[in-house]
Amino acid sequence: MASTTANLGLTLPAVSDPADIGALNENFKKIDALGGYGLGGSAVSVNDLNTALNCGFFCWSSDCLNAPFGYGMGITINRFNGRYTQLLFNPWMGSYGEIVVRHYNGTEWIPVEWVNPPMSLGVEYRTTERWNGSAVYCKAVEFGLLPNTSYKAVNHGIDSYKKCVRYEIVNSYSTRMLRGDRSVTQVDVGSSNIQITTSTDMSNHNAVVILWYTKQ
Amino acid sequence: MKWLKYTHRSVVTETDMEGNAVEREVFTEMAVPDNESGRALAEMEAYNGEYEIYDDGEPEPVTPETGGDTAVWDELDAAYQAGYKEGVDSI
Repeated sequence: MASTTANLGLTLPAVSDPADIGALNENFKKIDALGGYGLGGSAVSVNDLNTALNCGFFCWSSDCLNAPFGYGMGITINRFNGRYTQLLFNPWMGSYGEIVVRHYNGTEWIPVEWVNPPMSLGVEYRTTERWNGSAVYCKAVEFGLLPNTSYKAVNHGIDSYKKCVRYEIVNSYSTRMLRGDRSVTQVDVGSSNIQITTSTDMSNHNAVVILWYTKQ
Repeated sequence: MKWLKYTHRSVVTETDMEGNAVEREVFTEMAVPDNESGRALAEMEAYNGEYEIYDDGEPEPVTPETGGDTAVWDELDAAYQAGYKEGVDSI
């Protein structure tokens, strides 16, 4: 007697059944509808990303646990040895397009890593970038007005800061790039503060310093 | 040397999940030298106009006077070599 498969409902004729071209064609139609990759249908809605562990597509809304943003869609790749990788997409209004990666190493979830962080002011992001094997974090720090032929220190508020990999100084008021400006003669990034020295009056420039760094 | 320490407040406008504009406050701790230009900066930036004077016990670092002058770079380099950078985190 014929049975059906668990996932796609394909007909499985019994060995003793006569060949049925109609049943075979129905099976082919179901497989073809999936695009030939074994995937199809809509993403499954989940309420905790830590439970979305089967290979496939899923989505979530604002009440979902362990999600880096309110609404999103994702893909889980489930390895045979209890290790998982999730690729998460933010398709929602206002901040389209962020991509985040999560890994479960068999013991715990690694903190989320941003491919393209939204760089909200004062918010730290762990990125997919590496420096000498260590995870690179980034943060946009409000520096305020640059000093007038002097120096100014601003607390970057980063815990366990280790090393600055690179930085950028963005002028909030204009398109003028401040990193490399000859009036900005020195930039020091210490474990607590960013200190900028200027050789002219730059107090009409409001700056945001973007840091990329590793942590202890 | 003496510093003027203060809190700077900025407001950023972000978009919530419903597409509405939401304002968020960002507070940042800042410090400038206790001199005329530093005081002018602190008075412009300090949240509620409040700042405090703090003495870190370190000597006054070298301050550049003109742009493009190679002597300035020499002074800065000398100050850096003398441990100027270590003073950054003592504020």
